[in-house]
Amino acid sequence: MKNVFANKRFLALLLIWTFLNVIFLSLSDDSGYYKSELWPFTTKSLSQTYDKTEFLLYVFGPIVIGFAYSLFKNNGNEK
Amino acid sequence: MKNKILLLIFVFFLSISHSFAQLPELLEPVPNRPIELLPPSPKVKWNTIENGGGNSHSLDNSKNNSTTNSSSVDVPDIDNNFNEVTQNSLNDYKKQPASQDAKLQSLEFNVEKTNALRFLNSPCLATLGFDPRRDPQVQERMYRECEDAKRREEMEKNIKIGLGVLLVFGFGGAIVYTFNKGQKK
Repeated sequence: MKNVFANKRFLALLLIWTFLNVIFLSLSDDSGYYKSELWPFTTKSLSQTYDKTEFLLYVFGPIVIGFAYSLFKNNGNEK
Repeated sequence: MKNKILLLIFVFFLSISHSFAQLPELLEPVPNRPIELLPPSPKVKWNTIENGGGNSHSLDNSKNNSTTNSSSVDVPDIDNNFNEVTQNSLNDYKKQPASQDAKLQSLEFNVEKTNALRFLNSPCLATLGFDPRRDPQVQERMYRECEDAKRREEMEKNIKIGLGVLLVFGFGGAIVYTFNKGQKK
């Protein structure tokens, strides 16, 4: 885990991506009718659809996938 | 390592290729096709008939004998955004005597001559409506213009979706990739 935080490229990318998502979240319309739709897989605009769901999915999704993948790979190496 | 990056880029572009395939058509200039509008129809006058508390309306030129306390009222101008041709059709309908309502409801027209199926299957039917009494050429031009606009709108939406997908998967893939790279060290 220490290696992850020592990896500056990863941290830089994560920081930029989180910052972008915070901007998207702040731009989104609070009283949106189409919040149940998942951006960008919809014809509605970003401000109409982007909410906490997208924020959590896009910010933490890659970390979870990366972590799961590394666990999967490490397990294979131990054997 | 370079091969992996190239493969990732290839997969991203493949995922949004359907959107970019439409770019040349989108960049194409729209031909200038003016719409021939029908001449404006005169204002229709309505008679208000009050029957025991309830207000009902009948057309000015209808042969209704039960007119009590009747007074003529001008119909207010319809909003400019309202399609003019549809407005004229509506006015024509309003001008018909009440006795002709039944005739209008069972209007007969030649499907092939009016090219009705082409209009009835168009996505612009809800916007423009279909009237067999309209000039087929004018109707065709109106529909083509509307369909062009709709197609353009759809293409723009697809490109936006493609760019969004590229952004999400691009950053997501890069984060996952760098995460694992750090773990290996």
